Amino acid sequence: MSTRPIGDADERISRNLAAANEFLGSIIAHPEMMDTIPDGATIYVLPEDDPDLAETNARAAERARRNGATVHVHHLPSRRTPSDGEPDPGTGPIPSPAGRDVLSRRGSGRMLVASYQKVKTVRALRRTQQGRSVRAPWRDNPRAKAANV
Amino acid sequence: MISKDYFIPIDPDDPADEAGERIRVRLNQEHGLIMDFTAQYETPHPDAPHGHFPVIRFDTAHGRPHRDELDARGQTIEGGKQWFAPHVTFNQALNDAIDDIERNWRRYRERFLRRMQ
Repeated sequence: MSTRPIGDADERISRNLAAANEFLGSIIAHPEMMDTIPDGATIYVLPEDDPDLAETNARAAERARRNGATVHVHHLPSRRTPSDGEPDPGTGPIPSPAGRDVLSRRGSGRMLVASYQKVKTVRALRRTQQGRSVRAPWRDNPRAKAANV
Repeated sequence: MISKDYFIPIDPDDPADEAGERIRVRLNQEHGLIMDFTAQYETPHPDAPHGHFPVIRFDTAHGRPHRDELDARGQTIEGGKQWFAPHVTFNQALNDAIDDIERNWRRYRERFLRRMQ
């Protein structure tokens, strides 16, 4: 993130929308965040890595609040490298209508893409430890193969 | 299904604040997952029923993200639909939508206002 003063409007817009993109990525990775943000809120992102943008957005949030708008201010922590082996939950494919149907039929047993990848990895590791070749888990269970989304 | 709308002002120094150029993001959550989203660039206009006209809309409603360029009635203009590549992830689709709005919102607004004349 830039620490240069924001002067030019294009620069300001670019940095603001980059911060907004990160915020939206956080929500996709952690949908429970939606519980804390009211419907219809105007979002102002305050990135730790970009103090000038954070100050600009903080002022804008205060003005909007005084105008009676519903405002949510999100503090974006400084970027960190992802820990080893931690998959990004937002990298899954967009569920097709058939996929959504499968997920809803599975009931409340939510399985995020990250969890599914973790399960596959653990099973593959167990197989290698047992001296067996690594196979996709659904190969051992034809019904699981048919249900695989 | 939980559906919420959030607004992101395009320019934080816009004196109109949340009443200025903005992006509306609608997220639909089901079973603890974001199932689909809509990201829409909106421009303020005195003739707009709620103060803003939607100009460009990105959504994933049919399982594949696409972009619609809209007219003043909110309908897709002829030739205004463009599909993204298949198998795009949520993160990538949303990133691409916001990037596209950032790069082209002025041009989209000009075309929209010209069509209104």
